[in-house]
Amino acid sequence: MMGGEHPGQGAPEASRAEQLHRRFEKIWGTPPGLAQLSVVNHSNVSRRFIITGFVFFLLGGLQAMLLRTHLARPNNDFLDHEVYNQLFTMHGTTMMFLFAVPVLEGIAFYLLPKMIGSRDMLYPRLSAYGYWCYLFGGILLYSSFVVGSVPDAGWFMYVPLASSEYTPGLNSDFWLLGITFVEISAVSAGIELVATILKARAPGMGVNRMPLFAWYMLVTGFMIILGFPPLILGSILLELERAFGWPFFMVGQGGDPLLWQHLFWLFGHPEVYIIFLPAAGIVTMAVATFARHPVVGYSWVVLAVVATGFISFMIWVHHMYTVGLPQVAQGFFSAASMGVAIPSGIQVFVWIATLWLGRAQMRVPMLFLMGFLFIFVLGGLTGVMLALASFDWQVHDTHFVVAHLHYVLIGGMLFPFFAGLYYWLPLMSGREYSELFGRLAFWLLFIGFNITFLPMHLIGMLGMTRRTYTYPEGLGWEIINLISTVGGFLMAAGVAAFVMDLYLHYRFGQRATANGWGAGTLEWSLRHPAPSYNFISLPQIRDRYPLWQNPKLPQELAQGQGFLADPGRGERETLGTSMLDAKPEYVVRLPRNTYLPLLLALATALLFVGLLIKQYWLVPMAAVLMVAGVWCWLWDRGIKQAPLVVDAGQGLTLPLQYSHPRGPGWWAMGLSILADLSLYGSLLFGYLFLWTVAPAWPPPDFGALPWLVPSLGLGGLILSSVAMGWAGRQLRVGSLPRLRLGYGLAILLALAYGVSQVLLLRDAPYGPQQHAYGAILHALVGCHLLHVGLVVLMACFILARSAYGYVVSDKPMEVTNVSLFWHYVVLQCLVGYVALHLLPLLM
Amino acid sequence: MLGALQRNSLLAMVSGLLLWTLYFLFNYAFLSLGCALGFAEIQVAGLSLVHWVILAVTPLVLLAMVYLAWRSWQQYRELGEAEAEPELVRRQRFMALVAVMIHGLAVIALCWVAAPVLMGIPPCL
Repeated sequence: MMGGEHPGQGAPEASRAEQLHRRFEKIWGTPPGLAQLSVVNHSNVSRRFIITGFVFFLLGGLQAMLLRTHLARPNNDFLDHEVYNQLFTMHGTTMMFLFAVPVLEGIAFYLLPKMIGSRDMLYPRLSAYGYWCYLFGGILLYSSFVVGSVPDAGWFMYVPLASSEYTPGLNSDFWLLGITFVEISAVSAGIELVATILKARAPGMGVNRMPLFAWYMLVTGFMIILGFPPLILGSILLELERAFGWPFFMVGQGGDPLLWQHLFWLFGHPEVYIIFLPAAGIVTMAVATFARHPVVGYSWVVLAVVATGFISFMIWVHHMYTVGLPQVAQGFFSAASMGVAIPSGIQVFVWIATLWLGRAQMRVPMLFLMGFLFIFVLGGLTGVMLALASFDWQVHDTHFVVAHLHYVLIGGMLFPFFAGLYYWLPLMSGREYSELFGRLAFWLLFIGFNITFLPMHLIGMLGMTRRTYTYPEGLGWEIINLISTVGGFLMAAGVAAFVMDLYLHYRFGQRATANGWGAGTLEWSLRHPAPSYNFISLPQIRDRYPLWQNPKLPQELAQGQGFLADPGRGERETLGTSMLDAKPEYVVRLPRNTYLPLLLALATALLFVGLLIKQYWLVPMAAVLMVAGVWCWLWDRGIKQAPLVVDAGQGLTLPLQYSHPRGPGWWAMGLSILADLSLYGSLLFGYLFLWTVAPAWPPPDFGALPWLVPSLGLGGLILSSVAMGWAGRQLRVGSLPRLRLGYGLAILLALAYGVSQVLLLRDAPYGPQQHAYGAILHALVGCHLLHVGLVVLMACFILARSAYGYVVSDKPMEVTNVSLFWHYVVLQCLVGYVALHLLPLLM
Repeated sequence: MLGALQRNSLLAMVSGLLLWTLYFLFNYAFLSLGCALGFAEIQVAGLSLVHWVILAVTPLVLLAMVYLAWRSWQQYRELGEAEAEPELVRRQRFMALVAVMIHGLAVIALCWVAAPVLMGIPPCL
């Protein structure tokens, strides 16, 4: 049976399905040649994420091999110490930021729409922009090898080592700017994942019927949105310190290096779960298929995923047990760190129970799943050991920690990643993999991994610190290091076997049968390889495993017996449904291929390159280009000629998303605000943190902040919110002149606030460079100014749109969005005012 | 915004753990401020003021969590007898059940995190 055909399909039905396929492919398909750079479709973009991530994985692996070769013998001079530092820094950075997160995002982007019955992610251009940011950011970081300034302060860039005093070259700047650039893609992916899971599920797929992978990614998405901004902020602050001498982390000037550690690990620990949860989601999906049994304890898995999301945010300090925090505080974090084992344990038992009740087939993906269970449980156990502060003091910064983190990350991410690739490969490529090479890859990886990292626990206990350049003879470390190196090369052979298998697969693989695993979830209802548009028609869901409940579903959907089966409008369309019960709410008209994401990413790259090479005149230029790019991007939406309602098939008439006040744009705005809130909250945390550690705050010899002008400015800004609310109401009654009046007033008041903030900085008794107080004051006020500038631009956009007749009362979403962001910014400035002007009075 | 907080929302479903997070942050921030600003030195009946405040807050949060769990359990049971709209009821029952579990886990996590305070270690050591 060839890909695309389905059992029991008669000739006329097959030809109708084929006809529909060709028509949809015309609308959604990938253009040839260089025009592929304009592609925004999730299947293409996600494949790029996976392939690019895998290339970075190979680079990171190569670095690991060099490190292991160097450590194989005592007193080795295979690498010099500078290169050694660069390699361990880049190995960690690559594996965490350029491999694990993007590759899992890629898998999620590829699978989610197919699993939840949607034709695409909700913001395809954002996915494409995210990909380019990831690629360009990665290239920027790796270009440090070309100019010989490779980051070398470790993947968590601790200050003062990473500060300009001890790393005067561009090394740390490459890291800070490159990684921040890459993180744009992570945050945009987080927003897209959450919005798509909540709003684009097939009708009937209530939250109680979502595939568990969607639950995993929903929580992961929220964790990305809240977890990445602290590091983005930390990177901005450190870059400001390095480039302009704002002393956030310099003790002599009121700063504190621990602030960096807090900001880094506020991100860094959730990051571990941001990597683990998608992988655990892959495991959960594959376990059900290979056991041929629904996952036991669906509600328990949801509990575990949600609990992991919460608890993992409250354990960041367990990376900082040795910095001298109060013991009671260590007790809190120790307790929470042990507590996170509860949800992990629940999941392990769920997987075991599901396999127990089903009939497990030992195919290659299943082997990787078993490998995952074995390794991850061991890593989890050493995790509980390390959660104990007293034990951690003994092994902190030794190879015991290196062993633990590789057990958790390779066990918890790499093995599920390979399991997932083997499991979904037939869907992606339409071909079968080779059982022989797959097994070879697994055993080499599994044995090699354990030989490499199991002895590392021991050598850590024997006192070998991590990141040590070399070691003398006679400490009893020689043989263990040699064994680890041999194991490392076995692992590398395993990866080589996998790459070989992949090559043979695409070159000679046999055609895959449709749903060869006999899986129950929606993605397997598609033709193999999965077509660009996913579904010819969207299903009505009645069960958690739609294909087990109705084996004929694939044929029914392929023949157009679902929603949105008519390609006649020639548009890319999918359904927007309600958050909890997935009732159809509107039809989402998605954008077509465009070069805008690429161009915008190039402008963004210009910004980062300008900052890196300290040619600051490039920065405003890049900013103007970016604003122009976003302007065109948004102008394209809310099309004037678009009808208010369209036929969604199955007797259903629905509005288009433009005429719905809570369309996808509203969700993107709300979630962006959440990310921004996390960033601003981290900045406020920095302000309060420095306050508590500085001996006097603000420094007494500096004099007080001026308060009159800022207070007047803030009063005006609050009034602007009122004007904005009034203008929004005018749109509802259809009065455009009054809407413009309200917007004009609000813009003037916001500009006046901006002037008041500039005056505040001018009249402040200290600049940003003398003391951390001045630095964080400038950072806070700069943040307010940036936000106010942004809302003013947004309001100007609405005014321009209203002049061209785009702003009408039955398409209110743009105005709703601008109002929402406007009120948020006003609130932020109000909080900033309280922190800067009122709080010092109270203390 | 209020709509998001109503009974059947995802936010309400996770409110137990949300409370736990706030409690945790409060403990850590209050302790750190106490040590930085010096009010942790104040001793009342042999224990630090910081200990007393945390010991006073803990049962309040615990009660709130138990109440949330109990209410979700009631809702779960009531929905078991409902007959109209089976699809909707099934989804609501699922969320009520998960809420009971989440609030229950929050109770365990709360007691676990409060344990270091009960050990009576001096707060700023």
